[in-house]
Amino acid sequence: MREELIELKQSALSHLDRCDSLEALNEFRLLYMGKKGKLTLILRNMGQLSAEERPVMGQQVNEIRDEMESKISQFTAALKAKEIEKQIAAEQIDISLPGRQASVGGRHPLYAVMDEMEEIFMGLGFSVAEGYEVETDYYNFEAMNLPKDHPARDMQDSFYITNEILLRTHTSPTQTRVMEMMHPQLPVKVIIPGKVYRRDDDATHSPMFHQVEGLVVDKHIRFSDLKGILLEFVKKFYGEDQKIRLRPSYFPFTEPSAEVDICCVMCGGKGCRTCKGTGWLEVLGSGMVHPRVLEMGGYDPSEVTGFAFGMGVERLAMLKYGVDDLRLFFENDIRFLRQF
Amino acid sequence: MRVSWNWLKQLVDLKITAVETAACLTKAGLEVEGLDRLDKGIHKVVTGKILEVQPHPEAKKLVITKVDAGGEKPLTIVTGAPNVMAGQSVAVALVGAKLPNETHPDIQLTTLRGVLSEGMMCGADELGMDVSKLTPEEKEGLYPLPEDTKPGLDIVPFLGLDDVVLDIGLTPNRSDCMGMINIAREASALTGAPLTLPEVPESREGGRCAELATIKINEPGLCGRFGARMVENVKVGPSPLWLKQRLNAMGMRSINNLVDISNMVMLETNQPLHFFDYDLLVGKGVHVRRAKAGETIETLDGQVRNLTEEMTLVADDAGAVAIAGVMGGLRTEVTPQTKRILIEAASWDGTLTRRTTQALGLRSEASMRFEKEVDATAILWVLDRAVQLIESLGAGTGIEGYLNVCSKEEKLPQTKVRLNKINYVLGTRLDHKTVQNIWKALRINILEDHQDSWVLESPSWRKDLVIEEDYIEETVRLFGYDQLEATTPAGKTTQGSRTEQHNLRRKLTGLMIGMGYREAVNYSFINPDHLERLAVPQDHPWRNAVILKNPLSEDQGMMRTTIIPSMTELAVWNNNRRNRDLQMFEMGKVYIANGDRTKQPDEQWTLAIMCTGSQKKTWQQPEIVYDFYHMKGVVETLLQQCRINNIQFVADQAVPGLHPGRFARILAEGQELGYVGELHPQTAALYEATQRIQIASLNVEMIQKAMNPVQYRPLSKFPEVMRDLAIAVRTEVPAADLMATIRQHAGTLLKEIRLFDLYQGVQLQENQKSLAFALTWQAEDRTLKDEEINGFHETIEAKLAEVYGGQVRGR
Repeated sequence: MREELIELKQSALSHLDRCDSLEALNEFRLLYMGKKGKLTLILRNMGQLSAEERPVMGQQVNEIRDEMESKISQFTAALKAKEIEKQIAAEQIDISLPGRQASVGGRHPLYAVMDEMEEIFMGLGFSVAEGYEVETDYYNFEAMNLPKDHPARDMQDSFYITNEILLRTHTSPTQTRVMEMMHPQLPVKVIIPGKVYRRDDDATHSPMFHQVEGLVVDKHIRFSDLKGILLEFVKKFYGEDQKIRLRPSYFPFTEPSAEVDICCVMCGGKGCRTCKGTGWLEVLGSGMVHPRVLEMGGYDPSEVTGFAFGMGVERLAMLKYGVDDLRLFFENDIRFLRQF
Repeated sequence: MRVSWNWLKQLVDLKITAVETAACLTKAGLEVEGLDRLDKGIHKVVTGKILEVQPHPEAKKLVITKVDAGGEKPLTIVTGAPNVMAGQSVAVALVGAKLPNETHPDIQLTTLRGVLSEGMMCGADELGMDVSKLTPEEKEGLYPLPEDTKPGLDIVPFLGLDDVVLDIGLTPNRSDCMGMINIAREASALTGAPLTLPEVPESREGGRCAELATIKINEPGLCGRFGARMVENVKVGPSPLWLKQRLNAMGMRSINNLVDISNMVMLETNQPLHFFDYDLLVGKGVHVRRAKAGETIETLDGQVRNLTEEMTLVADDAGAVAIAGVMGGLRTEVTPQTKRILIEAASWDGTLTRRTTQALGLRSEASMRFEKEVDATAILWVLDRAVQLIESLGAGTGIEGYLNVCSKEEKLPQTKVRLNKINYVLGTRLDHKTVQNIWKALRINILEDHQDSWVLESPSWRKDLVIEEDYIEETVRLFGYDQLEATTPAGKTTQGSRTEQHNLRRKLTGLMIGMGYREAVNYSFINPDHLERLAVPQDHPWRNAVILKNPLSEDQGMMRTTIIPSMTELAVWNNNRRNRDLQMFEMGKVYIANGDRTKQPDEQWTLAIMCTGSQKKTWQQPEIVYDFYHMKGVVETLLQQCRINNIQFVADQAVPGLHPGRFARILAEGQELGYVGELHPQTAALYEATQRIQIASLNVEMIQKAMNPVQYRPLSKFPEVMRDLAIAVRTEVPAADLMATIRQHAGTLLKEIRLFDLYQGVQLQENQKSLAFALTWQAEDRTLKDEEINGFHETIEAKLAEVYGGQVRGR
């Protein structure tokens, strides 16, 4: 029986070596280790052996079985690996073919800039308010300390609907509307983005354009706070190194008033065509809210102060993206819009 | 405002350069927008005298001249200038000279038709002069210099070209700076440099002047003060070179000595003057009155002006002689025959002047100043100054005495200004002395000086200083805006936010972008003729438009009541530029007037969507045509994302401009949200559209109202049951009706119904179509039994057969 076992082992091992597929391995397992397999039969015949021989033989048979089992699993793993390799080889594709792109549109550059401005000011605690585009003369002018016949009305040539109704020439009328709504709460802290209209149409003026207005009213708001907030905005919008310069100016609705320049983004302040050699670019108008305007908004100028500012979105967008013609923003050429 | 640097230096003793002065003024709010060097780089150009002129033997059009240019011997210069004459003084560009005209090469020795030319004689344009300001004699050919000019002088200082012009952008509150003296005062306040204003001999009231003329103001509101002086022995003639140069630098052209003096005094003092030919005045002097209805005047520019009772006139006994503060009349104009003049210096009412200029469409250097009001207290000084200049130029002799009528008391505003208020508003810590020095520098009159406050009186020329805040601005203007700290507001912390509707608009915008659409921005106004192109009926709400009274052109004549024109033009404009495949949208407003034109219109936020063309075929995907269903799908997705239930697309009467057979009104719970459709073929033709255009319009406010909140439901642990159902019906049966019937009879557990096939063709009768639906049921509390679903399925089939005559296929 021992010889039989040795022979079996050798023939099994050499058979195993010839197995080159998972099917062949299965057949092999049946042949030797199945219910009627050769090894199984030997184990079954163990009863014929003497009591001394039985454990010795048993151990040997088990050893052979274990060896064969482990070989089978080794071979199985190898064969499986080979099959996956084959599958991979067969499934290779041309990854250089273009992918299936999702078509995604885009925000208009003006509104992308407005979004960014809104985010910055919201981060500084400002809420976003909106107003009417077709406004009354009262809110557009009178409540902004521009009574009828005020010479400064010339600064903003208006589109009129009737003598009392016009297209707003700035986002400022919403200042008064917000104050009326908020009064007597404090602080008032809003920005007002929106469309505005003036009778101008050339390479640098559009009859419709966009402004973002800001208004803060509270007890003890200082001119230096205006400078601080605007500096904060400019740094976030144009970069931490950006500098600002405030210059005295005149708006009927603020006193004192300031024009705000930033260091030229094209030349970094050295002087170029964009900044007309000055190194500075005018980007916004601002000032301390005129006491008359506070009054008309319902607040007592002896108790509160405030500041306001307004900037042209088109100008900021032109500077940000280097767009050299204002009209491109309103032509809506898809080739232009796709660049943003 | 153009400011001659040389003139400014005569008025204030500045020790800094023009560039430094410009920076200084800009910092203080007088923004210098440009610095213009008048010499424009001229070099080695001198005065010369033409000694002789000989014909050129080789060339008819050229002459050979000998010119004394101050050198040891005369230069030989060949020229083709037509007005060359011996004895004439001219500007000579020497060999090596540079001229301002960039295209002009530097002057070299050249041989012209065999004759060596040692330089060039210059015309006005070659000297870089603004020829539009010159007389014909001055601008054609050689620029003539005065006859007795010494040869060899550098032309730059000789012609006053050694000047720099500061171009100042004045804000409306600083109209005082339309006068050089007030700019000088500003420069003096900013730099501490002393003022050196002209000294003027004072005349006295009355005198012979009062014997010759009278002045009367008929209505006090028309004119604050009217002062006058007279001049006799008037000699009208050309102005001296220095005066011409000064006016040129200031951007005005020289006319004659008298006109030039009146302009110079206006530029100097900001007080416009008017000269009447005294001997042409009818009656004794002039009076101020309102114009009569229908009255006319022929103004200096030769135009007859129709006047109204709103307008103020200076008149004599025969009628109007000037439109007050705007322009003089031709009848009493100063001419070479004039012997005596009456000089008017008045302070006209700003508002009245402004209305008059607007009504007449006539604006002058004078009216610009009166509109913003002049310094009435300076009028007598200004008159004396004018007479002084006339006498010094030999243009006449002043008649002793002046006339002065004052119709209202000139009281300067007095303002209490508190130191702590200044520091409170500015965020500064300025002390009493620092601020007081600012008042002094600005020549503000300190009426009372307390430790913590002042009572101040504004300088007569500063109309802009009235309230405390005005003085706070003066403080920081001189202190320096750049000296301010940057601080943060101290109050309560606030949370920034947007309104709910604003957030919804942003959400819709985001969804549109996600679906491949590009945002556009269109003008809110459109040409009213678009309504005709869309064939909008007369009684349609879109006719309730806000109409502009003064549009720049009819293209911007009305505020849009519909987005269809904007979207159509957007498509056509791009198509014409070969941008054929478009998916675009705009988040903007339409403006619906509500009948009452005295009220503001409804401004309705609208999401406007347009697509045209297709998404082109790729190696993997077939072409996707941007047709009605493409647009409808976008709208469906949007509304689903807003959690709006029971959306219905109703084939209703199309809105004007859209295709009646390809149009749907969008309803949710019976409320109209908007519409979707294809452009009407007729409208398309009127817009010359070459492609089919799909348009959708959604009212944002209605979407906001129809939205539902998020409602969480636990996930079902039980399996879904799916069934397919194909049914053949007549072609005209709407798919939506079939789906509604299916829903109605599928029980409450139907989760999804998906139309996965639509077939028309050989396997069906001619007027039939087959729709195949995939239905999914699921319960949250149990596994559904086949029998249950089969029951539903059978009922659905029966109902479809009953209602639509539908035949179930694939059975």
